[in-house]
This record gives sequence, structure tokens and C-alpha cells, in this order.
Amino acid sequence: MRWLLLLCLCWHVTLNATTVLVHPDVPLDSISQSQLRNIFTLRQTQWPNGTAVRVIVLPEQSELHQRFSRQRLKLFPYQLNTIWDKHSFSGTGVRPQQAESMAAMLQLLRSTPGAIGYAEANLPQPALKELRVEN
Amino acid sequence: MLKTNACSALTCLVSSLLSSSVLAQHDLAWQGFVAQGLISAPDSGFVNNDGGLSAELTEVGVNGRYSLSPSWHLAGQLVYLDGGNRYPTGARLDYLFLDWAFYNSDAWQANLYLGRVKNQHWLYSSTRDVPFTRPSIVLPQSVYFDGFRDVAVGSDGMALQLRHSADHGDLTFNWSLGTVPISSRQSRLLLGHNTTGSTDLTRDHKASLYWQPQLSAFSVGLVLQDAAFTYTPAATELISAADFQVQRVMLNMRYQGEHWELASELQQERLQTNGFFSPQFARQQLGQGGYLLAQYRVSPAWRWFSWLDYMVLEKDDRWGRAFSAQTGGAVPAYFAYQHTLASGVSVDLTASIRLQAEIHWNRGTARLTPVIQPDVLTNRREYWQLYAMQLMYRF
Repeated sequence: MRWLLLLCLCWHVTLNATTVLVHPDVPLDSISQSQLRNIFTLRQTQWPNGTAVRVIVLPEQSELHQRFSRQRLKLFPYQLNTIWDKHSFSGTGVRPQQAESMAAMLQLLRSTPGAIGYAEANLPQPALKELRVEN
Repeated sequence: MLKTNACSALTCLVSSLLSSSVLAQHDLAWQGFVAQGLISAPDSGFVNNDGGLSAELTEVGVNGRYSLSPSWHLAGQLVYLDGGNRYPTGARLDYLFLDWAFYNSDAWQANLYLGRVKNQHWLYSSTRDVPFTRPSIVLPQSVYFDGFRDVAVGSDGMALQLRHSADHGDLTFNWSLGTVPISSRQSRLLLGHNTTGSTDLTRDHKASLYWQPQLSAFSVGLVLQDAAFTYTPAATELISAADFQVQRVMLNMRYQGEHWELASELQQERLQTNGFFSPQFARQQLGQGGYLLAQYRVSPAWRWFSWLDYMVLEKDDRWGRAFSAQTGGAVPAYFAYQHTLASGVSVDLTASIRLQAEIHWNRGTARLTPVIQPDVLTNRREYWQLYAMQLMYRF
């Protein structure tokens, strides 16, 4: 019975996990949680090869965006919004490009060199690279 | 003249950016905001001299950022502000600078900014005119003194930002050096309604260091400022030439929880005045102030806030008795301090429209302009209130 509960818990966690996706040209296979946070808070704006990072996000009210923000970045969605506003209204950065749907997110990730975004885990995404997140 | 030329330059920049349809979408980003409100501060000259209900609560802005390469960017913002007596009315070139990201990796980021740069040192200084980004319509005046807005919002010069991420958390160091053109209207707001000479900010030097422990909800910061002004009287004035030096030390902290957000900035400011009232006049004031802000996000749309603000011009004369005695009683003691309790709510009607309303209960008038020659006829009450409501739209 205990094993069954543990199995259900693992299945639930896996079901609700998010994954980090990038354009195939991005020269990384893994990323640290700190680096991921630096990218989505607009601190790191270039990949190691010097190309520009293009952050793609879903709307703030999107359940997936909220889950990604809390699970992967350890930030509440309003904190991200505050940081993006501070950068974009003081001239030191640009708000991430917003995709209106998951399909639009995947399309933007495929067509934008340097793009980084997210999706539900365990769903194959052809023509995109999945980054392993290391703690 | 400088401001006019700068505004023209930005207008050209914005129009050329907007008309450049050949630019790839990601090379140019632009956005803006429009906000209009109603404000009233009876028995004070905070907004207007009659204290009546006023629509002088207008903020309009448009900004753009153009990527020349992954390391080079050009950014600018033009704003139009109408705040009544709070600051000079009109269009301004808020910022226009070249941003060089001369080092950018996962652990270190370094940027150099050249041009008219924003004040990135205080918690809300870089976006104090952007209604969506600040906690209240009127910010705590101990730190965000509206009469000093044009001087504090940024400077013409250079700024440096260094950021480092490691196991100990995130460190951010900001440094800036520059000057600020001061208009005659701004000069009268600071010094006195009847002054006709010119005020120049000869040096504005700031540095700040912020630390956020890794994945922590807390962050803390230290800010240092050293600024020097000169006043050159007009030939017809009885006022003497003057030098002013302002040195400020500030500590700040912020906590960001899921629903609660707390912020505080505490400062001590030394104001050295030489001249002005007479050639031999010399005075040093050591003022103190700070605020504690609490915000509660009731839901994704609704937010409540309250803050307590405290400031005195001289820490050894907190109730202004010596201050008033020096003027022979002509200036009441309550011009030496200002304490405020403010509270309000905001609601996001849509993703791009917000409505906000607030009330401030004030004791003292030290942050009512002008500050060097106080207006004792208009600011005739020690206790006064402020009511404000503003509708904001972003695009």
C-alpha cells in the first residue's frame, strides 16, 4: 500500500513537472537553476557563444507559467512581472516575448535563434532541445 | 535648452524607430503608459495653492530599446508629467543612453551606461513615474521627495552595474556619476517662489550594493550619495550666492512573499548650506527619515498597501523648536518634520488597466515645496490629508 502511494506521488509530480526548451542552436545541454533564474530575470542576456538570449513566456495568468515560475525559478509570478517592468521601463532590458498559447510558444521556440521557453515535461517536442536543469 | 535639444533627439529616435518597419521585431521593443487621476490635498500647497480637487495627476510615457548587437543597446523614454506643485509640468527626456554589456556570463554580468541614465540605486527610483511599477500614487516623501524628483530621477553622465551570482546569492553593485540640468521652475520649487537666479547641480555621485541570499525572499541594500549644488543669484536679487552639499546614506530591505511584500528604506542626510541668506551664512543639518511599506495581494487583481513614513530635517531638533526660533517664529516648527500614514488599494481591471486610490494622513510640512524659503501662507496646517485616485493604462 505504501509503495502504491509513493508511486502515485511520483506519477503526480512527473505529471506536473515542467521542462526547459531551447532553440536547437543554443550551445548548452544542461543549465543550473541559478542560471535559469538569471536568464528569466533578464540578468544573463547572452549565451556562452555570445548570441542573444530570447526569453519566451506564456501569459501571467497561465497555469503552466505560474507552475514554471514557482517550481523552476522559485519566484512568484508577480515577482517576475515586477522585475520585467523595472528593466523595461528603465531601459535596461526588454520584457520577454509573450506567446498566447502553448502552440505559439513552440512555434516561437523553433523559429527564434537563441530562444528559451518551457513546456509540460514528458511530451516529445520535435525540432527543439530540452535542457537538463541541475540543482 | 539642453532639455529641449535632448527631447528633440528622443522624439527623432522614437519616430525613426517606429517607422523602421524593416527592423526585425526582436531588435526593437517599445511600450508606454497613460495615467490620469484626481488628487486633493486641502490646507496645503502639495498639489495647488487653493487645496482644491485637481486633475493635475497626469503621467504619459513612451519608451523604446533598440538592439544594435547582443552587447550594444540604445534605450530612451519620453514622459509628460503634470503634478501641479509637486514638480515642473511638461515633457521630459526621462532617459536616453547607450548600454554596453561588456561582460555577460552565467555568473557575472557587467554593463556600462552612457548618456542620460536612470537612478538605479533606490528601490523605486528607476520607475517612480511609471504608475504600474510603484506601490502608491504618491511615494513616501522622506525618500522620494517630489520637489527633488527631477534631480533624483537620473543624471547626465555614466553608470556602471556589476552583478554576480554564486552560492552566497546575488550581488548587484551600481555606481553613477553625472550632473543634472535644473530648470528655473525646479529651482523655484526647491529654493523659493521669488528666487530668479540659477541653480546648477555640479556633481551627483552615487553608489549602491544589494545582496539577495540564494533563493531567499529577502534582499538588503546600502546606498551612498554625494551631490553638490551652486546658486547664482540674479543681479536684482538680495539673495547671496550659495553652495549646497547633500550627502545621503541609505539602508534598505525588501521581503517578497506570496501574498505579503514588505519594503523599507532608512536614510540619514547631511545638508550643508553656505551662503544664500547672507554671504557668511553657514548651516549644517543632519536629517533622518525612512518608511516601512506593507503590501498584501488579496488576489491576482486586488492589492492593499499601507506605509508609515517619517522624516525630520534635523535629528537633534525633531520637533523643530530650534528651527522655528531661528526664524523668530516666522516659520512654524512643523516645517521641520513630516510624518505620514498612507493606505490604499489597487485593482487590475484588465491586464493593461489598473485603478488605484489612496489616502494620506500627514503631520508636518517639511516635504512641501519650496524647502529653503517655506511657503507659510499656503501650508498653514500642521495636520493635513491627501486623497488621490488614478486610472492607468499600459500599451
